[in-house]
Amino acid sequence: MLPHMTTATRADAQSRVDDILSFRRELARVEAEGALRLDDGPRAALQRHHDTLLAALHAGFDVDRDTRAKQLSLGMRIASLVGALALAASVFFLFHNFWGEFSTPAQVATLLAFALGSFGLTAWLGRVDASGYFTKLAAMVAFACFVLDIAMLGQIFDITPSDKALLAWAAYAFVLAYTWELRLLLVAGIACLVAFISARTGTWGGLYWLDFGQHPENFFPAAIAIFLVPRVVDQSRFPGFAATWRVLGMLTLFLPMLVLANWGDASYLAVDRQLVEGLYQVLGFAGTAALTWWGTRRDWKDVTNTGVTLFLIFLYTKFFDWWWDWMPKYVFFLVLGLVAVLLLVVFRRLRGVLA
Amino acid sequence: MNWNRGTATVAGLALLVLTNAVALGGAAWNRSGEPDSRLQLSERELSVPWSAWSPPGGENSGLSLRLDWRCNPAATTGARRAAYYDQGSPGWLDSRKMTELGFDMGRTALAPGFRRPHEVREVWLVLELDGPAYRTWQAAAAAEAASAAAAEAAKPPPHVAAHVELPHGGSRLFAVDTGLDRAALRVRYADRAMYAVVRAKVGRLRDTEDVVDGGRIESLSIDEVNVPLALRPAFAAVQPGARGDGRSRFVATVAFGQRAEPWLVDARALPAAAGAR
Repeated sequence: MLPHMTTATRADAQSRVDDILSFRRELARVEAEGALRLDDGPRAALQRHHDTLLAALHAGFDVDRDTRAKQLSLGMRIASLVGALALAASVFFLFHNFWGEFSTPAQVATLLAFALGSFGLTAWLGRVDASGYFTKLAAMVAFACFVLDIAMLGQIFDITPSDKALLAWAAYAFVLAYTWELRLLLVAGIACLVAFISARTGTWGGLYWLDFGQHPENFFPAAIAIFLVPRVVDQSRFPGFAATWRVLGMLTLFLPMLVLANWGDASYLAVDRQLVEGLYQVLGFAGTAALTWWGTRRDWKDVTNTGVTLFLIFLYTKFFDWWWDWMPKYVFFLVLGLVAVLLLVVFRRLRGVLA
Repeated sequence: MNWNRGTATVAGLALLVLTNAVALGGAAWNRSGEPDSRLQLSERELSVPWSAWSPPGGENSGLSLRLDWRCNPAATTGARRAAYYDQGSPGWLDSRKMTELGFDMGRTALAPGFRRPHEVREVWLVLELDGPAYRTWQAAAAAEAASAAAAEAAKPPPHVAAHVELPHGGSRLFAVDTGLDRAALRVRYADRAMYAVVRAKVGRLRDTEDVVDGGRIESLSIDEVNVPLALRPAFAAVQPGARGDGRSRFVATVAFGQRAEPWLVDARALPAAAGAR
C-alpha cells in the first residue's frame, strides 16, 4: 500500500518516518549484540520497502528524514512564526500609510482585494507547499487582512464598534486553521472567541462590551467552553489542536483567577475584598492541582504541564506577597528552592504510584 | 458535512463576502433616506485629535475629526467636584436619572471593604448645538469673568488679567439629556438641525467622589468622524491643538443617520479674515 494512503497528515507522515528510523537504529543495536541476524534477502527487501516509504513520504509531506533536518525544521518553524507576525504588521502599516490618499470606493475596493487576494494566495500555497511554512505565512497575512478590512470599514464609515466582529474574525481564523492545520491561526481564532464570549458575558452583567476586562470573572464562561471543545468536537485529525484548546482554556480560567486572587476589587462579588482574594487563591490552588492530577490520569501532558506551571505561579505569587518585604532575600530564594525540591519529591512519588 | 479544502475555500470566501456585505449594508442603511439630524459645525466642535494626526510624510495618511462637546456641570459642592470630573458630569445627570438608565445607585447594600468597580453602560445622549445650554454657559462664564475682574480690580496694583475662558470660546455642542428610548428623545428634541441623538457611554461617578451622587458621560460611542478624500482640502490648514485666534477655519455639515452613526456631508474652508466664531 502506498504511504499516502495510510497517512492523512504531515504529522502522521513524520511519525511514520520517526518509527522507521528508530527501527533501523534498534535493529543495528540488536544485531551488534548478537541477539538477531537477518538474512540478506529479507534485509534487502525491508531496506527497499523503507526507502520507498521514506522517499514517498518526503515527496508527499516534506518530512524530516534525519536529526539535522529536524533541527533545521525547528528553525524554519520559528522563522515562519516571526515572519507571519511581521508580515501581518506590515500589511497593517502599509494600508495606514496610503489609505488617506484613496477615495472611499478605492479604499473599500483595496480592502476587499487585499482580503480576497490573501485568501486566494493561501489556498494556492496550501496546494503546492508540502512543508506548510509558506502556507502559514500567507494564512496569517490573510487573517490580518480580514481584521484590517473590517476594522477599517468601521473607521471609514464611522460604524458603531460591535463585538460581532470578533465572531467573524474567529470563524475566519478557524477556517484557515482547520483547512491547513495551522495552530497559530487556531490560537488567533480562540483568542477572538474568548474575547467575544467574555464581552457578551460582560454585557449581560450590565457593562459596555469593550469594558469586559474590568471584571476578570467575565472570562470564566469562555474558559470553560474553550476547555470543553475537544470533548465535544473531535480533534483527532488535527495534531496538537486538542492540546491547544485545553491549554488556552486553562490559561483563560486561571490567569483572571490570579488577578482576582491579588485584586479583589475587580470581582462581581459584593463582599469584602480580602474575602474575594482568599476565595480565588483557594480556587486557584485547588483548580490547578486538580487539573494536574486529571491531566496525569488522562495522559494529557499539556494539561499536566500547564497545571503545574500555573500552580507554581499561584504559589510563588503568594510567597512574594507574604515574605518579600520582610524576609532576607537569601532566605526568600532558599525557601523557593526548597519548595521546588519538595514538589520534585511529590511528583516522583506520584509517578511511582501511577506507573 | 465532509470538511475538505474545497469546502473550506467556499466557506472562507462566503465568510469574507458576507461580513463585508453586512458592514457595507449597515453603512448604506445608516446613510439612506433623510438623516436623523444634520448639524452645521465649526472648528469649535470638530478638532483634529493628536491620536489621529500625522505630520506630512507620516505613517497615517488618514484624517479623522473629533466631536468636541461639553456640558453645564452641577453646582460645585466641594473641592473634589472641581476641575476634571466636572467636564463630563452635567448637573441633570443626577442619581434619579442614573437609576432611570439602569444603574444601581444604592449604597446601603455594599459590604465593608467592598469597592464597587466602575460600571459603564451605553445609552442615548442628546447633543444640543448653539442652544439654551450654550446660552446658560455663556451667561455663567460672563458672570464669572465679571466677578474675577471685579475681584482683581479690588486688589492693590499691579493688576493681573483674570484667567477665565472668554464667553465666545469652546464648543457650542452641549450634552443636554440622556435616555434609553431614542424615539422618545427625538420627540422631545424635535429640531433636527439643533439636536442630535447619539450613542454614548455613561458611568457612575467613581466611589472616591461621594460628595455628589450622579453620573458622568465617559465618551461618545463614536467620537471621531472620518474625513473622505474629497473633503480633505477644507481642513488643509488644521492641525491638532492649534485654534489660532479662536476663529474657525472651516464649516462642516455632519449628519447622523438611521443608526445614529455620523458622517461628514460637506465642508468648506473659510478665509482667515472671515472665520466664524
